[in-house]
Amino acid sequence: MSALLRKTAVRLVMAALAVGLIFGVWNLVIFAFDLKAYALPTPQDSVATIYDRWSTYQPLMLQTIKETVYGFLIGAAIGFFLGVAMSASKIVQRLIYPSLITSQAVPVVAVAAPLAILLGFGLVTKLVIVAWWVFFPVVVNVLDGLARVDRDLLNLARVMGAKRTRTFLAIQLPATLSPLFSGLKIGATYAVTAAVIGEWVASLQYGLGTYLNTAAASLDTRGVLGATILLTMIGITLFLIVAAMGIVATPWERRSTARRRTRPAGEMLVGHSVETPQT
Amino acid sequence: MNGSGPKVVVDDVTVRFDGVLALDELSLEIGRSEFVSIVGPSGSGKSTLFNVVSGLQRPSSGRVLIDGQDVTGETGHVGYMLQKDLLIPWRTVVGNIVLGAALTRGARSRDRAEAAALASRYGLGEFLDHYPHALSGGMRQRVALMRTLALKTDVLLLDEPFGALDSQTRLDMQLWLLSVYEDLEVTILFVTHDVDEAILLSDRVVVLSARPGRIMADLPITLPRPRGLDVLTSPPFMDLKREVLGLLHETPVAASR
Amino acid sequence: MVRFASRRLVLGIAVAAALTATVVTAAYASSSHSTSANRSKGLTTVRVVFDWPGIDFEAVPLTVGNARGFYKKAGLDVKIVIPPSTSTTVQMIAAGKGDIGFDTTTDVVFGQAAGIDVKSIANYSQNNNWGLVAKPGAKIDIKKIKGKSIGIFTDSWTKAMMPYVLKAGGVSASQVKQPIFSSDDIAPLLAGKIDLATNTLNYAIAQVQSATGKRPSVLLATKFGAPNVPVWVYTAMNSWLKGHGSQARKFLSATRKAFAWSIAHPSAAVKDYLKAYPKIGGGMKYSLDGWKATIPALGPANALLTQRASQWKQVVRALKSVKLLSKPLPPSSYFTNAYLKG
Repeated sequence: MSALLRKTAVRLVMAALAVGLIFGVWNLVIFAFDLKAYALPTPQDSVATIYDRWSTYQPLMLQTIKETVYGFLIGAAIGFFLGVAMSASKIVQRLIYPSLITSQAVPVVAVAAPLAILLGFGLVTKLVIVAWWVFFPVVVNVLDGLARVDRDLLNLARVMGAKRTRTFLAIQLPATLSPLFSGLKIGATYAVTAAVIGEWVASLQYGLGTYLNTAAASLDTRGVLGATILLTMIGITLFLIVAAMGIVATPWERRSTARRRTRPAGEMLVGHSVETPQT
Repeated sequence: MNGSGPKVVVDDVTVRFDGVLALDELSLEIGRSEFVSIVGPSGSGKSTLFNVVSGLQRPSSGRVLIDGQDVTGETGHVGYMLQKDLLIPWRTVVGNIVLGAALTRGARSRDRAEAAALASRYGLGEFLDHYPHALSGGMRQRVALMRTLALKTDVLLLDEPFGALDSQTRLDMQLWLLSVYEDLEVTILFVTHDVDEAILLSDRVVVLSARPGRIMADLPITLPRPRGLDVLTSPPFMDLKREVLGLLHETPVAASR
Repeated sequence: MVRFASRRLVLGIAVAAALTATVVTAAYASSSHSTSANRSKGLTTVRVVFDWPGIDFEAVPLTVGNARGFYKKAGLDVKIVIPPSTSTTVQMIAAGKGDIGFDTTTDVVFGQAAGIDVKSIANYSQNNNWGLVAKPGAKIDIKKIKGKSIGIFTDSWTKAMMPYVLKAGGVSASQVKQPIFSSDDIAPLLAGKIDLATNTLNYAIAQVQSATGKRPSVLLATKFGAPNVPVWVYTAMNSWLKGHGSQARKFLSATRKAFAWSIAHPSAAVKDYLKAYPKIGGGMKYSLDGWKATIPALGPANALLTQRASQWKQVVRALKSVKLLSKPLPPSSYFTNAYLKG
């Protein structure tokens, strides 16, 4: 327990140092290039701005978090099911894969405006844009995970007389977990940026993204940096939550034994007729 | 389960892939609780034969009978184990052993208890809750065999199960398999490249020819059981080894019968 | 095969993107670092930072100034520098990345508030041409905007003008929908997704005409009580002006001639502009429509570029009333007509 405590303490100190490093470099850049506050305010000023304007930022942040998280969940779900569906059928895969790649090669910004006209200026458009960015790494990773399931293992399952659904649930589905979380982590880092772009296209509600624009329009660089820091925090937090869920969902990647223990075996007979040792 | 006929009958099986003849009218009978090894050069169709017996591969012609029942092209009648352990990384030792139950009707607590008992009995008691990555190669193969045994089919097909292990571990595993086999009433078909292994473990060694696979010889191994390390250096073992090697390399046997 | 083909597609797009980035970077680099290139011709380079991250027809007078020799006669070579975003022009001239800025009036006010000693040295336009836009043929009745949806931008000009819209319509902010856009509100207007768009009318008219071939219905904000404040001005840092007074004078004098010529010969002026920016200048029709729609805002020929103290009072008052500005300065802090003389 104390070892765990120490490990946690070390990690916290390291995290604090990492933040300190970012702030240090930031200040150094300002000093070295003699940047004025209108070009780049100091990190301390930016953080102070968040504190001073918390009542302004809070509703904006909630709005952006809503877009980010919902969009992320939708994108993740679509990505997962698409991955599973595509792995189930080679024809479906060949049909869909090129359009998936194209969807990512097309700059979202270019299709965002017609998307907003189609879907309106409310939450839906933002969710679609966020999901658009999130689903792809998920599909690719899930597909990859399913493709990497050993053919021989599937043959073994057949020899065992396995039912298809049970094979899927016991072998194929869990095989997607590790790659799924890799994809989700990438998606989590994209989601905030996507939400900001979604807000830029059209919004009925102000979020941190729209605020970035209005603050920039009045040369309010502190406001811009404050919103940027908050957006970054949203992204990091989402990433950490997903990473933590990944750790919980895939214990075998870090542990050598399962948390749940099997009771030591009693003198049970196995299904085979065991020749009982003569006494 | 009962009856006095052979346990497994391979009846006139021919397998053709895209015009290539892999097995040519092969017939083989394996008795109850018999341990039969199949040796042969690469491409002699050993694995094809296993795929046919397990039901994964439907033969071009011929039949497979188990306990007199035609099971050609049907899976679920035999246990199967490969050189790759094919353990599932996210399942513990017990979880892997009960895989057969999990894939057919769902693993119950009784299955888990039985798996734990089986594993404990054969030297895996300390590793019941370990994930496969935490086990050595030999341990992993033990788990794979336990998984095969837990299927409770009394025919086991073992396709070079120890082929990937170092020689020391392999010998340990061979002796361990002998003890398991001598404990249980199971019929084992064993594919190997290793002539020593075939003779040490088996009641019969079947030598297959290069493609198309035909039976070149079917040698009874009458070494007494239980067998131990000393068998490997005994004169009858040496004679058998010379004979099998001669067949495999098509040099006439200067038999010192 | 399908996968292979799509990979090639991705590769192609990637290569195209990389090439574009290289070309654009090179173009920008050459446009901002060519001060020395003209020394041999005896011309002084003046870098004018545009107000938008893409060039458009508002740059017509500057390109005409170069093409018709107005700048050359004054010993100048004018280079247009494109800023990276819509709100960095002031920062760029403050950082010495340009000599003269093309800004909105509000930029000068916010620049001064942020401690940047930027001054407006000339009006680009004389009138406030911001207003409401509706589809061609639709009627705009300011008294009937209750419940309508009005597209707005995130800029401060819109924020300063919207109270006049609401006041004239007799509605509160919650009684109209105000979807916020960052780049374009004309497409949603034409698609019928909003009832009214807000914009400077020269852009709105050009966009609608190039999309539909028809002129949109428009209502200038000054028609319902908004102050008649020019939207765009030319700016410079006070510190630069101190050392480059004669350059500023020569620039504005030649620019005034270029304005007059461009107003008198709109088609030829736009052709000059498109010759300077053949790839990225927009088509002839769009640019000509836009330039023609800009001309009315430029004011009478005898008052081109001249600023009034009252315009600065009005813009400061408007910004203060929407709480975008807390400490207004006297008009003389924001502008000077000193470089328009001579």
